Amino acid sequence: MIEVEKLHFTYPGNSEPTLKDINFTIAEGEIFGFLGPNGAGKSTAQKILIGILKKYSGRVQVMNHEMRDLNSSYYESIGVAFEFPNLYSKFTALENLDFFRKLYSGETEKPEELLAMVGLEKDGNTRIAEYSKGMKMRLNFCRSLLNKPDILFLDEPTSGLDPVNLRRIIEIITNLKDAGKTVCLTTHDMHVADTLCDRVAFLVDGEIALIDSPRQLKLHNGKQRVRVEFRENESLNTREFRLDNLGKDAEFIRILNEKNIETIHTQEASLEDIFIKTTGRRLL
Amino acid sequence: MRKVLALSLSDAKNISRDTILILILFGPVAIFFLLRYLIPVATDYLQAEMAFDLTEHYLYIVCFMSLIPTQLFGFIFGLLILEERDEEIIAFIAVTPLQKTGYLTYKLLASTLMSFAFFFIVVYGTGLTTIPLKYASILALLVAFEAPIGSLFLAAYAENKVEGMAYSKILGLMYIAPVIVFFFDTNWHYFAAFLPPFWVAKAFIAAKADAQIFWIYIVLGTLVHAGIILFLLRKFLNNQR
Repeated sequence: MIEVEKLHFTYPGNSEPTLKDINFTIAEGEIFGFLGPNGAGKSTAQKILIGILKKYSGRVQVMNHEMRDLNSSYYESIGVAFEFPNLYSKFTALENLDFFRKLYSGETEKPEELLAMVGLEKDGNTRIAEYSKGMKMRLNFCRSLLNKPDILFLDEPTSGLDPVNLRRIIEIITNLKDAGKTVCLTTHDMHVADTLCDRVAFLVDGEIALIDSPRQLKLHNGKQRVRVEFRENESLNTREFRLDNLGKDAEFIRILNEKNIETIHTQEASLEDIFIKTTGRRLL
Repeated sequence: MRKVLALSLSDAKNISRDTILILILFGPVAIFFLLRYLIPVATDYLQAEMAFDLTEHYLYIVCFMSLIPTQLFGFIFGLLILEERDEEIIAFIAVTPLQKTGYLTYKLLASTLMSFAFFFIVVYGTGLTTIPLKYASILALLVAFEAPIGSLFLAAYAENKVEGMAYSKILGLMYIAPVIVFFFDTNWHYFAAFLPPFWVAKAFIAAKADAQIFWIYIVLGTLVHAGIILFLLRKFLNNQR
């Protein structure tokens, strides 16, 4: 669906390139995540994929079309949600959706149904100026679905959402994947990346430092051990065991049988651990 | 067509929910009433009380007044562009099938067409002066080209709507050109030739006199207008990147 090869990009007036030798592919029906700190080049990569920045070098093909040569019909088949909600503040939510849907020639979703999908059905006639940040984010997200796109580009889609709405958006994106849609997102939220993405790319200083599925990355970078916490004589004790032949480890079996177990966790790495280990930097 | 209707409806809604824009929209209507009803009364009064013949200046009055609605339409669409840029609506439209080019084309054409139509109301609806009809459409077009200049000037230089209001006053200074053309009839007045309304005033006088030099003024005026529009358009698009 998306093929990127030897992508370099430098903003006009800058001496340093923002993206350096980027290579990746995104398959149809895949959820692909760009992770990285601010200024790493995530949004720039997305802007190239949505055709805003065309003066790149390398090959960037979406649905077999080179991005620097695309025409307006490309926008009939993609949906975009920017990081900051860009909506008419003087319009109601329904007026906003109704306006934007008319910019597409193809079949569009019903605004009322999109609002219901993100839990804004009762706020359709409220002006955006009166919306909270989370409500604007949800409206911004559902607007990207107006034209029934094949590919979705979402920049920080869960930023500013409360846990209930965070779960709602994750569920919608998962359903979109099940319906065969391709999703390319950027996020700072490791939980979102872990839950949603089939594969993630860690972008640091314009380069892809790592690219793989969250599961593979966590397993590969973690310890092949399990940690057991148990109570003994009122004190909390911790023991770690190797995962290989765990069932034959006499001490492990004894603790399971004799002690009051409180937690058992395998020691795979978290995505944030991997990021820090790979880049030496924290996510900001 | 569906997209143009959507954009027009969106502009109408935006204007109707903004007191300043509603007030500006009353400007062209006020100009019409001033020319249609107040100027004849003032003419009679000045003739009777001071023996001053205002009719001799009707061409100047109509020329100057025909430019004001154009400036106001340009101002309205300039402010709409600024607002849509501030709210990053343009950034979103850029990733819809309309794209930024379609959006800007609509905005600039809308202000041009409104100005074009209003020219006929001011010139032929007020009855103060007559311009031979064979020149009217082309002169109306030259006048209407002032509107995209106004819109783009605000969009290219102002950071926000408040600054846009201030910049509109700077823009108003170029309307000194008709005064120079009408009241300083020497070759020195060509120093104002870089101001677009200069050529409108020259074309007005030539059209009224049914002089063939009208066409030269139209060509030169079109070049000046087009040059400024292209310069401002490039400046605006560069700011957007």
